[in-house]
Formats: sequence, C-alpha cells, structure tokens
Amino acid sequence: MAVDTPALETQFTTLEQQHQSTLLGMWIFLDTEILLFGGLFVSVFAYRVWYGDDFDMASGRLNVLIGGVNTVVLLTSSLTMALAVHAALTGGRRLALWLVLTAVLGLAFLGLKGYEYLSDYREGLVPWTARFSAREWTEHTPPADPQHVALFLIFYYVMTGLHAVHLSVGIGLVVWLTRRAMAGRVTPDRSDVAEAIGLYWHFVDVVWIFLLPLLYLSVHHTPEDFHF
Amino acid sequence: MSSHTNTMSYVIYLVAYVVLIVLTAATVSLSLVRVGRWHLAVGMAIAAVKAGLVVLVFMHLARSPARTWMAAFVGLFWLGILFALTLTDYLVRFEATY
Repeated sequence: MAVDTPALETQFTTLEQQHQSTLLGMWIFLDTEILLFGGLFVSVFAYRVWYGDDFDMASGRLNVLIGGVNTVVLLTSSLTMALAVHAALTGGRRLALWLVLTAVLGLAFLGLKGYEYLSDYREGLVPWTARFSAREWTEHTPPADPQHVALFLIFYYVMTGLHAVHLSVGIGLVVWLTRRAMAGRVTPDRSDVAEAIGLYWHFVDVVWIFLLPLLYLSVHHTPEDFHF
Repeated sequence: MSSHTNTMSYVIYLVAYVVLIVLTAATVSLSLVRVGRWHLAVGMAIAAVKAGLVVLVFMHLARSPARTWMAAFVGLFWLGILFALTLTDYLVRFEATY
C-alpha cells in the first residue's frame, strides 16, 4: 500500500519528536476548550448563588434517565476510541472496526439527545414556546420564578448544544480517520494523528461527565422521573 | 520506528471503563437518595474522579512526559483563576433585589 507522503515531515528530526509535538499541540488546543466550557460552568455557579432553588426545581424536570444512558453511551465510545488508538499505535488490525464503533456510539448519543430535546419540548421545557407555562412555575409549591427557570433551561440548551457541536466535529474526524485507516494510511509511524483525535474525543467525554451532575443531578429525583 | 511510549494495555482500559460505569450508576442512583443541598457537590466530586480516570488512562496522561502534565496543569490553573476570581465576587455580594 503506497503512502503518498513520507511519514516524517521536514520540520521534525525524528518520528518521536513529530508524534509528541502533535500531541502537545492538541493538549494546548484543549486548554482553550477548557476555558470555553469553563466560562459557561462558572456562569451557572454564579447564578446559582442567587437562583439556586429555582435552578434546582427546573433541573428536577430534566430527563435523568436519558442523561444517564447517554453518559454510558459516551463512556463506551471512549473505550472503543482508546482501543482504536491502541490499534493505531501498535499496528493492530481492528483499527477501522473500533473507529466505526466509536462513530456509531457518537451518533447514538446525538440521536438520544435529539429525542430528549423533543420530549423536553413536549413537557413545556423550552422557554418562549406555547407549551412553556409561566403559571406552572408560579403556582408550583414552593413557587419558582419562571424567568429563573427559563435562564436555567437556556444554560441547559446552550451547554448541551455546544457539547453536541463538539461531538459532531469528533464524529466527522473519526469518519475521516476511518477512511484513512481503510486506505492503509494510519501506520504506526503516523499514528500521532489518531492519538490526537483520540485526545479530542476523550475531552468531549470529560465535558459531558461534568454536565451530567451540573444539569441533571443537582436535586433529588423520584423513581417516577426515570422514564423515556 | 514509531513511538509506543504512551499506550497502555487493553486490561487497564477495560478496568477504567468498568469503574467509570459503576461510578455513573452510583451518581445517578444517588439522586434517588435525599441528601438535601449536597446533591450538586457530591455529583461534581464523583465527576472529578471520573474525569481524572479518563484523563489519566484514556488520554494516557499517566504515561506522558512532564510537558503534557504541564499542559494539563495550565488548563486547570487558568480554570481555577476563572472560578476563584468570579466566585469571590458573586459569593460575597448582597442578594440581588431584581
């Protein structure tokens, strides 16, 4: 199988140096991503100082079962991604298989998330739509301020939406890498690309790991809350 | 020759995965227990352990050179500044009247 470029780019002296430079570049990019998501996280905590009770009441209405199942789906995709990177580094034969599984699990997460948004809409959890009822919250015992509830829900849609955008980019990268792998171009010498994409994928997983308690688990749930 | 310095064995990935799933089941189940105001704190603490596992094992940080630890530390350090300076403001303000 012909490789159309030599494995070593001209600016590097050794493959090891090239590999480690690629990884360091991805880590530094992920530092900027930490601050992007960190800004949203700190905003939620700052608003919780004032509106914590209202945020908890809105949080209690989110679909904790889908949130939990999606966490398992994403963690499983991180395992298949780790196995894909392992195959890339060691020249393993199942590289493409692990990559396809990773992409499929990523798509399953997005599908479940889309279904969850739809059920959120049906349950009146999308502010400014006809189904969102301010009265439902003012007449709640104890009452909640509908504007604070709407603020929490906006954070929920913006943060899970930004996460979904990142996951979509990750799926695109994995599909691209799969095509490269099937063309025989992901050799151990150029496995740096696979390992860097793996770092990005796991980072998106880590963001979700923190979104789960922040958005879904800040308040007590009853078994009746666990439904699809 | 290529670099295999960072990779780990299959077994470590599988063990990390099982622990991550157990912790996920634990944190979701804890929402069924009444712990009052502690739900968020406990949830974020479990999330921190899970994130640590993903970063150390799946992202190979445990087997990575010092410069990678530096990049990871820098991210946490700046995040710490963001949280510390923002919350030292909001936590000590008078309650909003609007």
